[in-house]
Amino acid sequence: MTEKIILLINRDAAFLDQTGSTLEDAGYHTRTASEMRGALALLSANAVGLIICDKALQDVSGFDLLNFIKKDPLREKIPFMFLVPANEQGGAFKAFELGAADYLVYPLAPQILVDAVDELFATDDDVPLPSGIPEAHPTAAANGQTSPTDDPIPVSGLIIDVSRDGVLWLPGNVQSFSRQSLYIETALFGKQGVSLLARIKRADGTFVLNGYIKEIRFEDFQKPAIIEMSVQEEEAWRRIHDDLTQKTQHQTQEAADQPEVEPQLEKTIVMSPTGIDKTAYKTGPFKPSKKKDPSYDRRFYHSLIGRQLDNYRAITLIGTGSMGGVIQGWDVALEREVALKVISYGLSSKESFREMFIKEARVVSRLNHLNVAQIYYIGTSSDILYYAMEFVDGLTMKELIAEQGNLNNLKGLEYFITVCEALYFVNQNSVIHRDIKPANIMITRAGNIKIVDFGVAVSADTVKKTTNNQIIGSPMYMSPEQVAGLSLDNRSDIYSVGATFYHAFTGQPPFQGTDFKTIMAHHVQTPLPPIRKKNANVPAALARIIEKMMAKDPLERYKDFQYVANDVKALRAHIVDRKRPSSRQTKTSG
Amino acid sequence: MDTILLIDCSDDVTTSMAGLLKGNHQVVNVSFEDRDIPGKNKMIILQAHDDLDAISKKISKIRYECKFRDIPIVVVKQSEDQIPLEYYLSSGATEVLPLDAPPGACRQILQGYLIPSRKPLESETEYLTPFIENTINVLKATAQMDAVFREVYFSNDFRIFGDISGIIGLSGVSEGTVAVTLYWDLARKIIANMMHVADNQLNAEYIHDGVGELINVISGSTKKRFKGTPFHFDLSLPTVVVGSGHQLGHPDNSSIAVLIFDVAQMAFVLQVCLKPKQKQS
Repeated sequence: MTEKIILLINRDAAFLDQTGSTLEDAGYHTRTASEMRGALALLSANAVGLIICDKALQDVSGFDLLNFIKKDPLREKIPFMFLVPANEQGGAFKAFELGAADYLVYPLAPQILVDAVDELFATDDDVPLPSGIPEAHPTAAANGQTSPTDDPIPVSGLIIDVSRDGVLWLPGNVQSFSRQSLYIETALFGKQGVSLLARIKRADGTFVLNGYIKEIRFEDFQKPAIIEMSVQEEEAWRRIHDDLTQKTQHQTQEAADQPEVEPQLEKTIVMSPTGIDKTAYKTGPFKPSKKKDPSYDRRFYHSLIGRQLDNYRAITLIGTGSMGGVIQGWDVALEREVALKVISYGLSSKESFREMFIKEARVVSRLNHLNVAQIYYIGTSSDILYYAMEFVDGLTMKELIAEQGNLNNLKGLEYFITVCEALYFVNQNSVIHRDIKPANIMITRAGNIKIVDFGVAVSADTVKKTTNNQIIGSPMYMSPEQVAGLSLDNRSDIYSVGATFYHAFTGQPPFQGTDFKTIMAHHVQTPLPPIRKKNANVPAALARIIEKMMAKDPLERYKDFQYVANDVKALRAHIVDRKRPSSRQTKTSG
Repeated sequence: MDTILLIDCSDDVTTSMAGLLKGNHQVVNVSFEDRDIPGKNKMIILQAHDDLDAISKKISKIRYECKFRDIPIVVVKQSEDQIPLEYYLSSGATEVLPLDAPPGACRQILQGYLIPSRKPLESETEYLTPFIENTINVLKATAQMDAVFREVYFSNDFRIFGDISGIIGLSGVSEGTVAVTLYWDLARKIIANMMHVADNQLNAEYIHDGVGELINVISGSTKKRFKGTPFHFDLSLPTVVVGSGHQLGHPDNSSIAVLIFDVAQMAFVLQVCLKPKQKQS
């Protein structure tokens, strides 16, 4: 250990003076504090190798501090020595339970204290330094040599996160790297010797590297510094280093940073059938314009945060959809949370889209159902068209699938039944959703299903009357007739729900591909990949239901959602019955 | 009538801005040297020109004069200007609009920024009041300075303008972040008082430790007030961030309360982002 800083914590200033002097005379450096807050500040600023703490501090008990330290991954390994009065040695047991390394009893003989500290420092050489001060390079120290030459390799475009505590992360731009160090430009105003974490996101996962600030270079304090972070020799860093070295040499950094294609394919598109070969996917429903910049929409929604539209206070941007942005809001009149849907600037300037937005609100407002997010109000404030709707606090099915891998369980079947029943109600009200997908099914914190985003929903009557030549929906879950731009009925939603639950039960969408055209073509031409090949645990009867829902020909699908719900309910009852012990016994005995 | 201050804008830009900014606003165009006190204006629009360094300094100067008020500074730039938006944003601009941007987008964006700030919700007042009171108390006790709470506005921006911030993560029953942001002039005065050293003796270490300690003490003393409430939290290590227009990492999708305090002729802000944890059933 290169530093022997001891942190003394005690309410008694005289004790701190006296004990501090004893330890300084014995060759140790000391820092002193009388309360937990001061102690934590000293810990963050110094490479403390040992804590000696009294049972009672000015603000909290010593046990509280010990407990806090031992739960902190950056400091848990700092040996903690507890001080207890001679008549209260029972406290020492509690201290040991909490992770103390040793205890000493008042009144304290100086030599006993020094011996105990010597002993602790003699035995903790294999303990990593808590605040990140480096030990001499083991190999170099053993051989009496310096480490081999390891010149930093410059790198560009490598953005990582840096943190002091693993909670708050700040962006850092890696300028260069070597086997031992990362040279990072960052606004984090560190201090030499303090611990630092670096988080690197890569295609094979996110890695957090431990290290400390070896050197800080400032041009001036108003500009970001270049920090040399000494990185611990861990397997993860060795792999990243070798990979980075190789990529830098072959200039293939771009490949690692390429965005994934798949998430884009889950977005809703609106385009004409002839537009498939063009770039309509990127430009959405509008005529492609060289000046079109999608960031304007987001910037517009962002400008509303912290403002008030009529009775609704805009709290935070939740997300952006095909027609507009969704902002979490608060209704000051009725005192409840709402979601505010604001029409995008591009659509707001086109009368037809303003009408479509208003129509969406009207369509949803007549769907008074527990599993459909309700509309409360539609209005214009400062020329901004918006509506206020039920705020659904929970996870989307997309997030749930990502979290759990798949939903092939009884709960998944219940979701399936509820979605079918809700959409039966929607279809019965002559509305076709046209954009059912995992991202548009929400599961509230109370476990209820809510179907959201009726942005492209239409009245079934309108569909019949219209000579439809638009392709609307999300490529991964579109029915073949949607892909072909044909007129739609409720069976198109049945196909999309089939595709959605195919994804939910197997963890994978039915068709995959690198671009939306390929996936859309699969919906029309490619036989459905057998569900049980993707997840053998899916019951055969359930696979048959989904396969029927996803028949290419609408006439071969279920007639309506009630039939689907009935079949899934029967399957669920059968599964539940089989799981009952009495049922098994009956079968065995029979 | 609200004033929208245009600075160094050409006649064309003035005309088109006046056209876009419909409503009860008075649009005034002045040169940078003749600008009024920015605090009286509802929005400031500045036209960018070739001298990038000069425009950056102008933006920073105006932003500094705003004393952390929520006054949008919009930069209008030439369509052929290939300078990244970040250049203007990090100097203190709120928004950058190229002259060939779709007028519909410009109008909506400007309109959005002109909508008055919302007032805190009752639940927000409940947890913001202790932060306000403790900030004033801490400054008095540790730096012997009188701070006066001026106003609060809400943002979900990661960026705050100032030279140095101390930020601390909150976890536990509630989670979030608390950050104090200052300009150098006030930061130096506070730290010198806190550390009992002369201003000219301040070095990087004093500044680091002083700002870290300031946010630590404000958060720590406020924490005690929340014991047994849904707002109770534990504190992580303070992190100090420097650089004009630095970005702070607040949790995603959160509302950040920006509390502005005046100290003599200067100002600083405390950003509070606190969310009681909820569980998915």
